[in-house]
Amino acid sequence: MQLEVVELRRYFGNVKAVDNVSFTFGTHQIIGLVGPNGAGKTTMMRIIATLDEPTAGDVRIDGVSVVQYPEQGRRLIGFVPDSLPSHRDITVHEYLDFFARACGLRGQLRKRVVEGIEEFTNLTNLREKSIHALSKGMKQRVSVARALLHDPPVLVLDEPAAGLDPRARIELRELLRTLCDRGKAILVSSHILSELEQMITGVVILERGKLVRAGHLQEVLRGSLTQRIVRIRLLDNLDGAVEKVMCLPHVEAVTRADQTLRVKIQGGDAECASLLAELIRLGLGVVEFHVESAALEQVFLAVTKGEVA
Amino acid sequence: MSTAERVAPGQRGWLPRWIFRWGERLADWPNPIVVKELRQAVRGWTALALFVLYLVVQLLVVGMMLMSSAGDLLSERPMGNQVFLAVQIQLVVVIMGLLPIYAGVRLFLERSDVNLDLMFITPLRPVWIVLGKLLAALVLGLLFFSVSAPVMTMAYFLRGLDLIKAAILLGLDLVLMVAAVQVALFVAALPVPRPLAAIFGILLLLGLFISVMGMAIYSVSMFDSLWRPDEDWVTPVMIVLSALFVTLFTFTATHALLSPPPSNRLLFFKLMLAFGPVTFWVLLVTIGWLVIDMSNVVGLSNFLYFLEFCVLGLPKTLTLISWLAWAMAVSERLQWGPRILNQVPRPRWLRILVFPFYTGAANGLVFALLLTALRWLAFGTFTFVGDVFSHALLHSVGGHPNRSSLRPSELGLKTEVLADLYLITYSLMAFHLRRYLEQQRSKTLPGWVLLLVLLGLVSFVQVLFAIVGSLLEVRDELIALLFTLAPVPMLESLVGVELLSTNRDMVSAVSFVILLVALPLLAVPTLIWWLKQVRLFRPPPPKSAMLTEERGESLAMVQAEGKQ
Repeated sequence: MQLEVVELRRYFGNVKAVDNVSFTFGTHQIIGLVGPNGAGKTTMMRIIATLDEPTAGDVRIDGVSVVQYPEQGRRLIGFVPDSLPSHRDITVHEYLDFFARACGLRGQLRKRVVEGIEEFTNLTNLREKSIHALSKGMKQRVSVARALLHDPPVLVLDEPAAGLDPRARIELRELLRTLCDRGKAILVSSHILSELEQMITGVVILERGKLVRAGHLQEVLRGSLTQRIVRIRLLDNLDGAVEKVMCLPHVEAVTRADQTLRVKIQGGDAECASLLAELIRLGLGVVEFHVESAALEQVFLAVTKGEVA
Repeated sequence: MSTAERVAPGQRGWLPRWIFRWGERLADWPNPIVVKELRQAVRGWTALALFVLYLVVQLLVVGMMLMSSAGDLLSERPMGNQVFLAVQIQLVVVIMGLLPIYAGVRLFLERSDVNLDLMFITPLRPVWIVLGKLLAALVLGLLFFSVSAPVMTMAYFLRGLDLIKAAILLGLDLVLMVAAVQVALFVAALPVPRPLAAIFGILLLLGLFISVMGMAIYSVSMFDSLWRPDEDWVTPVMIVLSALFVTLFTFTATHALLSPPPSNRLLFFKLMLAFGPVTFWVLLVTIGWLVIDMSNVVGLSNFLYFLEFCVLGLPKTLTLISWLAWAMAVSERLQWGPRILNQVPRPRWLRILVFPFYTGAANGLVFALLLTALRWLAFGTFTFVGDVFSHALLHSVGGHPNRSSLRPSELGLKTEVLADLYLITYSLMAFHLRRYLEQQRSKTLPGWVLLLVLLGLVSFVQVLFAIVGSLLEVRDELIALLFTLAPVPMLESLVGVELLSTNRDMVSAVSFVILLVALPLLAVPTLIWWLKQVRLFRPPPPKSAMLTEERGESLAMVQAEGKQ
């Protein structure tokens, strides 16, 4: 299963909410969609979920255009919007049963599916509780459960962690990981980048409707920064080493902590490799050479300018 | 088959399996919305409180009537009729007043958050959503009927209850309940900001109050006077036909309002607008032809008056519909999305035929023009044959042609044409203003709001000038000239009364000249835009061409290159 976003555009008058965005992802992947407010994340997710229509471009799941054939697309996508379910006077079980009916599930199959989903999302004990009485975390679980009723291969979640307490966030993260392990392709947006980083396998960064970075998480983290921090542990003679390292090309700063040097270099992987080669050539006795990876937050700040569409 | 096989697992052993299977199938059968709404109604306190309150009030009122010699006011009626009337009035208040409000508020609350959006990502079609909401309210309404049933039965045993009248009233209750609930759903579905929604809500309450009062008064008068069903059957027939028309109209309108914006949402509503009144009209004319010779039927003359009223009312109905079509045309989407284009028929002749009924501004303009032409045709025809028709219809039963203000011959075709030219000019102005604003800003006012603002603004400025002019004692001719741009003829056309009596010819002449200049100036760019649009109204290539080639390197995430 593969979801392709192809040259997607969504204009509102002269505002380009989504401007020529293309990326692809598939099963066993959790893709983080990040960007400042007004970057076009929700607009894009609504288009993928068939709730909106692009000005141009396409969204395809295994080659089937969900823009052209929304009815087919809806069978393949489970959408969790940014607001929580707010139906009044209805229990969790009745809510899920209603959507199961709406998805066309009948008889014993519907009963089995609803009970299965309740069990999977740990809602069995809450099935007779009114949705209105649930906590935000539980409501979010109900929302995810609803999106899973028709067993879609693609899940799209818009800010699912917003307003959740730490426990609910961890539970949600674990739930998404389990779903990913079960073969779902998941697209999730969030402003809590440290949280997001712990669960995603890939990232798409948007700003002013444009795609600024996309790729596997590690690739993006490594490839997006112009500076690197390298931790080097030497065998001995650290006093002389600090001066020698400072004189090497691309090195900007060196700090010492016990037997370890923390070197800040200007450049990427190639510059790191050349530093290691230089250290060996100088005969400094390298025991450990570790390039610290950047956090998603750092990458985000480095590649975006904080502008809105 | 062994006993073990015949018993459903986990069920009581003495019932055969097929009962459960049928039970399950039966449970699957209803519209999911109906199931959800009824579950919510059962769990919520509103419906339950309403039921209890209704029951208590009903028992109290009937009890008091029976225990005391209360009925003083109604003492001329037999006790059975009195009790029935008391229950009937309470029932009308609930099913035509409170139930529609309950249904409308529920839909309004669902629309104000994402709940309705979520339904659109299921295979549920908007028509099922509207129908589900309507049916759920009707089931609740029927429960109120059933709560009233024991007391109504008791009324029969108290003697004196006229069963035919009671049956007619209950039938009317049912029909009016459907119409009232559907109107409430329509108001709740209007995509307007909260302050405007509050105004519409108040109007709805007012409308419901008038309907409830009207029905209550009619119920009392039916039992009060010498109402005879074989003579006075025209009013119930009129009520049923009107309620049916209102229900159909508001149902298709609600469907259009609740459908997702990218869909071909106006198709059903436009079909209803175009063919509904004409079909209704043809039906009435046919009935007229069929019954015209039955002069021995009692009450036929009243019915024929009603027929004449409806038949001669066609041009007026078309006036309102064509104006609504213009307001819709300037508000519709400027480009078609893939979802609409996907529904465009492949044969060219069929494409031309369905073009006016599809969603889109280009389609809307043609639709509005067609309805305007139809309106002119109706007015033109009725101006010349209206009297003939009235005489033909009523002559055989010895009646006289109706002298209502609906008679087109009394209105004048000139005013109608002028009114439409005004509307077209202002609509095109609003349309181009909207196009300009949409290019400049992300969010603009809907076209119909711009149209109303333009009309209101011009009227206001001119009335202001007229007041100032009269204060300054400016000559009447000059003041009258100010009205040459005002939508006065539109108002005259609507109410059927001449508002501007002085200098009428001069105003009409100058108006016409101004329109002759303004209209082409607006029509030419519209036509150029329209022609460009029409070329795009074609279906996409067949589905197989939409499928992309299989990719070897799946699941790899790629960044678009050179597409920024």
